[in-house]
Amino acid sequence: MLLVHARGGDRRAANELLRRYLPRLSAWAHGRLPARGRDLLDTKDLVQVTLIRAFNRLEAFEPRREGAFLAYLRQILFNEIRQSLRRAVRRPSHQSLPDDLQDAGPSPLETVLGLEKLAAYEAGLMKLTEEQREAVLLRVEMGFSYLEIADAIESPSPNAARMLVVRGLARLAELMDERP
Amino acid sequence: MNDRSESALMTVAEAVADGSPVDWERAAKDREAMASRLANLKAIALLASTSRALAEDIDDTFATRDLGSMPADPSSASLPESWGRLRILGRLGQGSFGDVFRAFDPDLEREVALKLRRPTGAGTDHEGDRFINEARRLAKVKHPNVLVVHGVDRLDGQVGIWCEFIKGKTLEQWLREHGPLGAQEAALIGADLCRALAAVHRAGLVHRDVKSANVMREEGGRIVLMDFGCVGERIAAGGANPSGFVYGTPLYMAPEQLNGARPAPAADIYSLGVLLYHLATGAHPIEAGSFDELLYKHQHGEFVPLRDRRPELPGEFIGVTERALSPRPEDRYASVGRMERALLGRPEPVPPPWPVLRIAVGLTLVMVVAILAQWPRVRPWFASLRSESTRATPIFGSPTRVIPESQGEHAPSTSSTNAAVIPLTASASLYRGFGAARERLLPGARVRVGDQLTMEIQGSRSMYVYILNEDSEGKVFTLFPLRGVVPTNPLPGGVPLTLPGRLGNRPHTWAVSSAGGTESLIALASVEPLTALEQELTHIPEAQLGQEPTYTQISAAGVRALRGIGRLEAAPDPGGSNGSRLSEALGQLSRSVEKRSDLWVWQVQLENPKD
Repeated sequence: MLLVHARGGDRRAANELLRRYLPRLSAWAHGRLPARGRDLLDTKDLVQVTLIRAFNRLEAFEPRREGAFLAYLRQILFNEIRQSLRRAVRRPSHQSLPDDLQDAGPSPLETVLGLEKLAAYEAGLMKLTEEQREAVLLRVEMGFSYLEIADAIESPSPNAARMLVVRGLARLAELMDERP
Repeated sequence: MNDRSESALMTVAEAVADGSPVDWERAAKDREAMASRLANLKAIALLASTSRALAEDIDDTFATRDLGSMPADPSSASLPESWGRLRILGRLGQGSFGDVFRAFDPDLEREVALKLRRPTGAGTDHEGDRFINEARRLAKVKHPNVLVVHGVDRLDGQVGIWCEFIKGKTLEQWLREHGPLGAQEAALIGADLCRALAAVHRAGLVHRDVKSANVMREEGGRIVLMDFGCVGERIAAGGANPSGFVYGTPLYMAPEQLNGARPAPAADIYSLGVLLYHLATGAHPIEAGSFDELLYKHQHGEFVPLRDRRPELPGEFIGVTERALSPRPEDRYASVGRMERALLGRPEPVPPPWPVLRIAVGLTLVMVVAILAQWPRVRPWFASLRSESTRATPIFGSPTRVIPESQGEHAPSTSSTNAAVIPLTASASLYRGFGAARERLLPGARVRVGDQLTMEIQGSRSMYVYILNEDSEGKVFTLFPLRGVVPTNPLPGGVPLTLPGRLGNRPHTWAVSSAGGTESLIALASVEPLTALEQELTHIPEAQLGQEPTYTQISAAGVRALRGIGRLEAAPDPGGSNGSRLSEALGQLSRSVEKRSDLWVWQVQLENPKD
């Protein structure tokens, strides 16, 4: 398993993991960063830097499976974006950020869903069981097929993974109505 | 939650998970109690489709960018040597849908782009079957502006499609690097895409995801519509929404598409309108803070008028783009062919025998001078004209106006001339055609596209003449006077004159260039210049006579907004029941001026029905 190699410090395995996750996580971040005038390549740079940092901290994390690892990377990225936006507001000349974060407008997802719904979604997601959360975010946010999800969360079959996603979605729809 | 509602929710949750169609309106109606949770699921479904669309944007940049900066190992074991007969040369990119490779096809002896789809793993691969069927249909679409699909196959359960290998950039990349395009360049790209879509539509397909990231500009400038061949899930057959997820990018999607309607060519026309708007401005016409707001704005045409973003754009380009953005499919162009013709400024297929001064008579016309945005300015002028007739205050901006109410009752107050006291009477007739073959048009006559109109007018004395056209939507255009055209105001009295007149000593006509409802032609003649009106007319863009005409068209929403901005109307009143329409105002005016000898008003309604 690639993950084990990565933790063992196998650079080639780490590169392979990065290569696999970078497009999806870049797309993910693209949806959550302000859309105005920003270059996709900037997003990818931000993602890449974040991922490399995450890899360097791998020793501190023991993911049981690939799905958990991806959920972990997602969370790191989520925090990084939030901090970046805060820094951009506080210190407009911050060097490590694309300049246009300074006049941060809404992100594509905020545009489509609205701030409130997006926040409810995030909050609801965090209240799901770990397995459900991974299944839902791999399907909804990363566009994984059921086969890939089954592999990533070590589910017995694609159909089992599908049921996990379906139940997770129904539960999430309920949780989104709960007050935080 | 009771069992019944839980199972209802599960049904929808299953559909969202699988990407099967969901009739949201009906689901919401049937299960009102579940409305909130359905709304949440709808939000999740949107999040999923938006994520997919964003992933494709990323895929595009991966497909064309040098991957050297990525920490990928080119000798990675994951690079297959071949797929079927295709020899893999390298990886072009990796996306959420699968991998894209540069490959060599020994049969065709050329490089191709090979996209290998990830297996779905969910039992029978229905999506793969559909992908193959529709890619086969797409392969039959042969057009220079459509990505060439060479083949599609399934090997060991993995579906792959190989297409033309294009070196270039997507329009989205181009836009990011070079900024917004000029109107002419954007229109030419739009025309290329119209031709591409015509070929797609003729094959019974709908693209459904026309956007800047899905159009390549090949090195050398060729425009290629893509990303339906290589992303088969989004290919729409004529039937039902094939795989359920609302594909496409919400910012580009027609309102009916956002509502999950069956894909139709009109939705592609709408997306093309968004693309043109985007190319010319770098922005999107509709921006919103939530999906509901987005949908509402798409449904009500509440976009930022193109004119507000780029005032210097030609009216013709704005007109075509904003018509494509009509919320109702039937208000858009009937086909991409018609849209192409409009984009290229060829709305009239029959070349006129005379140099023609094209005027706007109808909804989508080519028109010379547009004052529709100026109606708020003109309206108070009419109001003042009406009030003047009862209050007898100066209205024409001329302090020396001295007109007797009836002959001999008033003495001129200041600087009167003999001419000023000759009462003005006039007569006018409208004609179709010219010369001996001309035919007089009576009120209510039908005109049609291609008709060339002239007006013959004769006054009892020297007079200032203004001719306006108001269409059934209340949009107003000036037909006379026009700069460069002779005769000019004041027109001499006592002789019949044919208008619009001559330009460069050649007679011109007004040409009806498209259809749409009832037209009012309004002629005003006055002893003295109507300076207030003339001042308003100076704000109006001038016709470029002798050149291919330009036109200006602003959406109904834009007109309402303009009326509101000027605070000239308390509230938007598109119905015009209180006389907000020029022709209605004129109706009242002509009654009030019946007894006057300084002003003559003539109005004729023409029918200009759509086919």
